Amino acid sequence: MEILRIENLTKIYGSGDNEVRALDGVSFSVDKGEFISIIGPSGSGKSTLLHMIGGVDRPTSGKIYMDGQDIYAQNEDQLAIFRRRHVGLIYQFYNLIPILNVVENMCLPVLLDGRHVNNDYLNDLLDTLNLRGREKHLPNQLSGGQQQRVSIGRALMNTPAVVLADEPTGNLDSKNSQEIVELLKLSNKKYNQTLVVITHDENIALQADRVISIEDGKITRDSRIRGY
Amino acid sequence: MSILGKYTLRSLLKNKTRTFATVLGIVLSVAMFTAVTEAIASMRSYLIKGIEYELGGFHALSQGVDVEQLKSLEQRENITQVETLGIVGYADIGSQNAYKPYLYITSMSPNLTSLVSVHLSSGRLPANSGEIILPLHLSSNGSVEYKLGDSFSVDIGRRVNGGDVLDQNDAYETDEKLETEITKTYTVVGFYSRFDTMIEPYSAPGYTGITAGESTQTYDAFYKLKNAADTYDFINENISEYKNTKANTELLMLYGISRHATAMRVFFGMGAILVALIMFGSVALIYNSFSISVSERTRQFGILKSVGATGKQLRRTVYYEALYLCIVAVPLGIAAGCIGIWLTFYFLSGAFTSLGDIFGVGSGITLSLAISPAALAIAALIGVVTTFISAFIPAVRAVRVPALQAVTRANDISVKKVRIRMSPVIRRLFGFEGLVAAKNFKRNRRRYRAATFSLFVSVVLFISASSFCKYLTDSANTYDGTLDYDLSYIVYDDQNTQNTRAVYDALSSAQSITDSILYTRCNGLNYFTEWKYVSDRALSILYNGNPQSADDMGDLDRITPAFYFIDDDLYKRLAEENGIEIDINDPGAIVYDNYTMYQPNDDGDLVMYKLEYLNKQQIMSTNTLSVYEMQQIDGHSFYTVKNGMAYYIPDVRGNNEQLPVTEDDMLKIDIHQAFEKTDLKISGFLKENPYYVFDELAFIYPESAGGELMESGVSYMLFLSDDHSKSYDSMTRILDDMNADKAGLYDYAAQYERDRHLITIINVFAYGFIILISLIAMTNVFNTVSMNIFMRRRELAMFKSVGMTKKGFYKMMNYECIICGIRGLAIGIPAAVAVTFLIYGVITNGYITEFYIPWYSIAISVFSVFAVVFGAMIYSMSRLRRENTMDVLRNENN
Repeated sequence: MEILRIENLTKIYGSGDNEVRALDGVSFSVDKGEFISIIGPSGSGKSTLLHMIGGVDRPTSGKIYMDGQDIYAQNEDQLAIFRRRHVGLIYQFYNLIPILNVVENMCLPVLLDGRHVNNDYLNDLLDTLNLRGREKHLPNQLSGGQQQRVSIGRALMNTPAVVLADEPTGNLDSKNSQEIVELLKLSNKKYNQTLVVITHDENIALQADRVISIEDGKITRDSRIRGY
Repeated sequence: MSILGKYTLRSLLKNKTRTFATVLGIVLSVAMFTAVTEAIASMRSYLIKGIEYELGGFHALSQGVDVEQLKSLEQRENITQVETLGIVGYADIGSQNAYKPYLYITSMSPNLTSLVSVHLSSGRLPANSGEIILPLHLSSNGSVEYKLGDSFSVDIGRRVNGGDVLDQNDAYETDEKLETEITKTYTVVGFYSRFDTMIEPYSAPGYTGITAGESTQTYDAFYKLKNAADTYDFINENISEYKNTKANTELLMLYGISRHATAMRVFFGMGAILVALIMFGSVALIYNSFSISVSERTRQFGILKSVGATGKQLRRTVYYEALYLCIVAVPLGIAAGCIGIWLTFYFLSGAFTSLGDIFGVGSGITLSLAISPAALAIAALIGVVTTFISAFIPAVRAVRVPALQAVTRANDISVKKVRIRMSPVIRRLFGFEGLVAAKNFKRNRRRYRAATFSLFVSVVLFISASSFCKYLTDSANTYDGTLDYDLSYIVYDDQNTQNTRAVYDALSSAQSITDSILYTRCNGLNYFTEWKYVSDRALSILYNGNPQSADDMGDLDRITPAFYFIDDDLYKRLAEENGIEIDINDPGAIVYDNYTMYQPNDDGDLVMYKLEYLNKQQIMSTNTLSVYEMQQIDGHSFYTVKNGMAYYIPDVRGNNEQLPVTEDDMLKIDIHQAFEKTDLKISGFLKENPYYVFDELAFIYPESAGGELMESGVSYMLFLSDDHSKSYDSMTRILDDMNADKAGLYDYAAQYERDRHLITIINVFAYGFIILISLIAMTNVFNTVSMNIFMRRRELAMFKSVGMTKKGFYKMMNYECIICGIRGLAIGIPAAVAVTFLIYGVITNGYITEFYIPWYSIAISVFSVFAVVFGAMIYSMSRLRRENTMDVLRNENN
């Protein structure tokens, strides 16, 4: 079942001499439950692509459909609401709110949406992410790996249609990196979570179902590694 | 509490310094709002108390109502209390005042004094219809003397003229009659101060005596309405039934109820100006705090946005912040404001007491803090509104930053490329670090905008507030600091020189008098002089450098000198002290020339000029001033000069039918015949006026030289005293004994003390205001500068990590501070001078004080700007030094 379709997506920064085509007519689609990795060198446009999908930046032209809905047909506030209900974002630099504790950071999207936190699901996530006993800790009391696990928890908390991860292991050592990838894979399996991960790391990329390579804003390769 | 509420609260608690600065800002602002509103409320309640004391707390008075009408008033639902003076009637009591021959006997209702003030000077209120209290002016004005306990019998009746019955509002008519009906005997049980003219008009023919328990047919009814605001409507609706109804206008005005819309306009107007000034300063301060707090959290807002917070939710966090700050700061501010104004009143109470009669408030009423819930609510509301206005703009701005840009801090690197030029001197002084600072400043102007803006606002506020106060004090300060004499007595209708001398001798021997002087002064009207004797400045003001009225006047212009005739010895001394040679047998005038002239300006408003009117060189070259005096023509009055002719109007007194007079009816004489030329001998000019000479064009002569002119003058007596109030009392008694007019006696020293107190009060308020405004301004600058540095901790840590020394840091920061300060001052000072000019225009309207650039305040603000900027910089740098460089660089979460 198709959950995400990207049609002819183009993003141009600047104008005239300074014009940079970060994305140039990118099209692909993602099925529900798929685990996709996007690889490419620095400046190839992969982060831009991810941000477009996440609804945090607007494309110059082209369309993105999530669950059949054209996400950029919405205004800023609708987009924000769309984001907290349908998208989970994971950044390289965890981007936690420093003054909120682990549980509060994880529950942010749900609370912002004015819903009640599903405590069973929260406990399940805390166990899965191995954050038990750290519920009340503030981000600066956690290690890098733990902080990234919190941000994964935050991304999963609202059971989004798609989880987008931008270099989730870029700031971590190899042991922590593998742990994070395992967690992502686990959530992909356990919750049938659609997962789009940007990475430099060949090892991580190859653990995905499908690898998309981007260079100079264009898709150069789209290969399925394994079925699902 | 919602997650965003929690988030906001914790941000506030985490950034203690900034939160403290913001709270301080709001506290200061609310304290000042409270001070302004409470001062107004207290002043209002003081004036209300004053009127209730002088006149009474009734809302309206209906005079001459009959029994039925009174009953109807008492039964009305919207009237809460009615008290009456029942009218017993008039009695001839043998008053010496021909226009006030009667005692007007009234009977008070038991609780009259709860609505109407009756000030007993001795005795007690009447208890029954055999007792009476009399007004003090029955003796002082009517010369009818009774003592406490005296009994007297009178025939009481009504005043009639033709068929009309007359009342207290009808002045005495020479052909009226008193129809007596009954005879009564009263015992005097008290004396009271005369009623206000609202109750007993000046023209009333009867002194109001008050008895009690008498049943009467007509009444003066005093009443209070349930809602004071309905008073005027009530009066209008019932005007047909209660013809003689008056509202207690002054009281109602203070309640803010007036038919003429803008009551309390002065107070509220001044209050509004102050509130606007404070609000401007506060918004600038609090706005900056919010703006810093928000941009500090831009990244966090980005994160919140990317996990799905809507714009509305983000705006709400800023409003939460404002709300929490208000909850803490507003009550503190109100408390601080109340304490401040209470202290001010406490220390000024002495000064205020002596000002009673300036405000028309009698003694015994003191100005004290009146806690008015409305005033506090207004102050709180203005404070909250100010805070929310300040929070609104940063909130909107924060939401506009795209999520991605916020998260990646794309702002941090989006600087403009600008060519940097730096003079070699500065380069040498500040080195490479200075260059970095210059680049920072030029390429990233936004960062400094907040600091520059707050400096600008502070400078403008400080300078304009001090100018405001300076001009205010100037316009209140009519004396130049010292008083030359304490008391004066002026004899206006001087029939008898002999008598004047006697009065002078008697007054000079009054208690505590140490020195005295008697002289005569008269105004010279209808004098003209030649242009050659008039100073260039006077001519240029009169004719704008272009004498146009030459056709009318020829080369003559009016002068209005005053002639002084002083004791011969004093005259000799004056000449000697000023190095003027005189011949006492042909003394000539000693001239003091400080002429006041009013001329219309281009807008047609009269402007006052003070100048030397006479051409001193010309006059002293021949010791002569030729004056032309208008001839008096019997049966005519001089009217004007036109086309070289003098016009005289024939006197038509007593025959109004001949008015108006046309030019044809006037007597016209060639001006050279109409004027009589006299050469006045001028002995010399004075630089300073002796204390007995006013600021005017004065010609001073010895008494021995006085003739007809001196006899037409007014006698002035000036006295120096050790104790002016003792002297005043003693002089009053002396004048009483001599049966002389007391109206000419004036206690300047008392006036001077009152003026000094007024100035003290204005100064205290002015300096309080300046200090608070300066505090606001300083907090603002400190806050902005230190936050600016904190926000750059990463950048600074980076410099440190690549080896910038402590000295280097200070070089860089010093350069930034200097540039920032200079920029703030460069726009602030001209703006402040402009505002000062506006204030000058508003406040000195009608006074001619020269506009001056407020150098003193400018100097203070230049000094304080750098002091505060450097202080804030040193404070924040020392805070930053305590942090670990690597932590700062590595810590992504901050």
